[in-house]
Amino acid sequence: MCGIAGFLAKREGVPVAEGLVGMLQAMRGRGPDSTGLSLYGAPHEGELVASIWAGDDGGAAARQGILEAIDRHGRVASADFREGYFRIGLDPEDGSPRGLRQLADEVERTNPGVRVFSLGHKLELIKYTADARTIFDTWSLGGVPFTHGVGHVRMATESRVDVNHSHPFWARPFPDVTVVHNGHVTNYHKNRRIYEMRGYSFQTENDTEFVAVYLAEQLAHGLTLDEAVTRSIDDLDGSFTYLVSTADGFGVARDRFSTKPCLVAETDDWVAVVSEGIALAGAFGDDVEIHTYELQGGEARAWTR
Amino acid sequence: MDAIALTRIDAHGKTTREVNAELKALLAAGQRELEVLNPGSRHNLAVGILEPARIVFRGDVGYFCGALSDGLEIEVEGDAGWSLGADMMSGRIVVHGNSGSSTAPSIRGGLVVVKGNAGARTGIANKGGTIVVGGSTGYMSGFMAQKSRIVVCGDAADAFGDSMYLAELFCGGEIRSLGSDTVLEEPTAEDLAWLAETLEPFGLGPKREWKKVRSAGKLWRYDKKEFSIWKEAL
Repeated sequence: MCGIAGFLAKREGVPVAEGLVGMLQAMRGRGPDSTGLSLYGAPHEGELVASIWAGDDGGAAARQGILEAIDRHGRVASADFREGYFRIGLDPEDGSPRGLRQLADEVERTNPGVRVFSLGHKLELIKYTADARTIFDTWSLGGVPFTHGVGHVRMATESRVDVNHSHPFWARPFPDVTVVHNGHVTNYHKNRRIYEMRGYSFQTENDTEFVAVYLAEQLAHGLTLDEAVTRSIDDLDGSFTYLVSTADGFGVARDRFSTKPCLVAETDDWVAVVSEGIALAGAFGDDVEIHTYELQGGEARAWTR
Repeated sequence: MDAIALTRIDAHGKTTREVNAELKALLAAGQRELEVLNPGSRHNLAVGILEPARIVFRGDVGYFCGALSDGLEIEVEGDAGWSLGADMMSGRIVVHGNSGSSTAPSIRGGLVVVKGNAGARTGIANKGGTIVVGGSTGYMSGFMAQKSRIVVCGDAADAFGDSMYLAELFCGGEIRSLGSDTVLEEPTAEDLAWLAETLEPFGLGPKREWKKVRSAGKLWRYDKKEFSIWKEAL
């Protein structure tokens, strides 16, 4: 199981967070363990925004340590503490993936239990062992001018139920790239070792974390989003429908056996990719007619703004 | 549109269980012509109904719509999710939009028509009945079908008709690849007459260059030491 959703606005004024949360809430039955969202485009101070999980104990004690760690690698432009997260706007000394890795590693090394869930120019990552509606309300996401986002409801099958193992996963250390995934990637152990030898570090035992890093590396090597998701059909084994999001849009890919569901709906105003139709009914009402089509096995697509 | 006024259920704001309970109560009260407004892609609508009745869904339905039914007539004015009409014994399901994966799996009888496209594994493990897809069908359609006719007016994706028994598949478009142990044949005059007769009521009539696919039968029985058959058939 698990349910995934992506929602991209083609024009200003489309309520992205409202839509995405409506989809995820309707798919709650597919993933009651946890919910997560990657949302893009909210205004923030500084060049980058960091979503940092302060730890299971709430993390108020870690506040000073986190700010000091970031200060050693750049300048803190703004800092909010909200529902267990630090949302920090910052200007890094070194904004390259290498610099961002050092920054994220420093924050975690000096603050046990703290996790840097994402760094990006436009990305904010929120995940909890709670439902989508609760997240929407506690974070007051209504009315925030997000441009697009992806989300996930998780039914855990291959690693533990906690916030760290919830989706989305950030493609550490590449800014803005995150993945949500329904399925099992079966060649990730082997690939992960190869990527570790190349210097990447993985924070969990979750297969999706590898998918994120793999795709971000392809993009860093110059592939377009469309090319990267198409290529992944050959490079990834197992069952998967995943959504990968960047600062500019998102892509989707489905394995050749088409074992995991995927519906696409597109209007003049938005694009939605969901696990099942009930998500669209949840977001737009069950009395609204929306044309959908099923992504075929071995098919991949991308949309950019 | 309908000559007879249909007994109406509005699913808006109701749980699937409430909608199905209402359907069954109306059937028990002798109502035979029903319509469901705002089905909202809910799963498991009209499952396990074993008496003749007509149910029209005015919108999209989710997984397993009309599954385990016998003698039911269902019309879906929208899309259907996975496993539409699974295991039905007899009856008729018509979907005006698309359907998801494993459309009409393991059916033993009846007719399932999807006017749009169907997903992967259409008619998997069928033991009878007829499936008509007005558009294209996905990967491995007809897989292990035992006794059924599957008609695809558009294209068929890879592994069409893999490892079948006595099922017959017809494709009016391109077949991306055939499954294991299949033969491609010219349809007979009887086949073409049956196709015309079956498709005409659904406005899927235009003539096509039909291809017929059935099992070559090489995998049905063989000695496990006969590696050449493994190699040839698979």
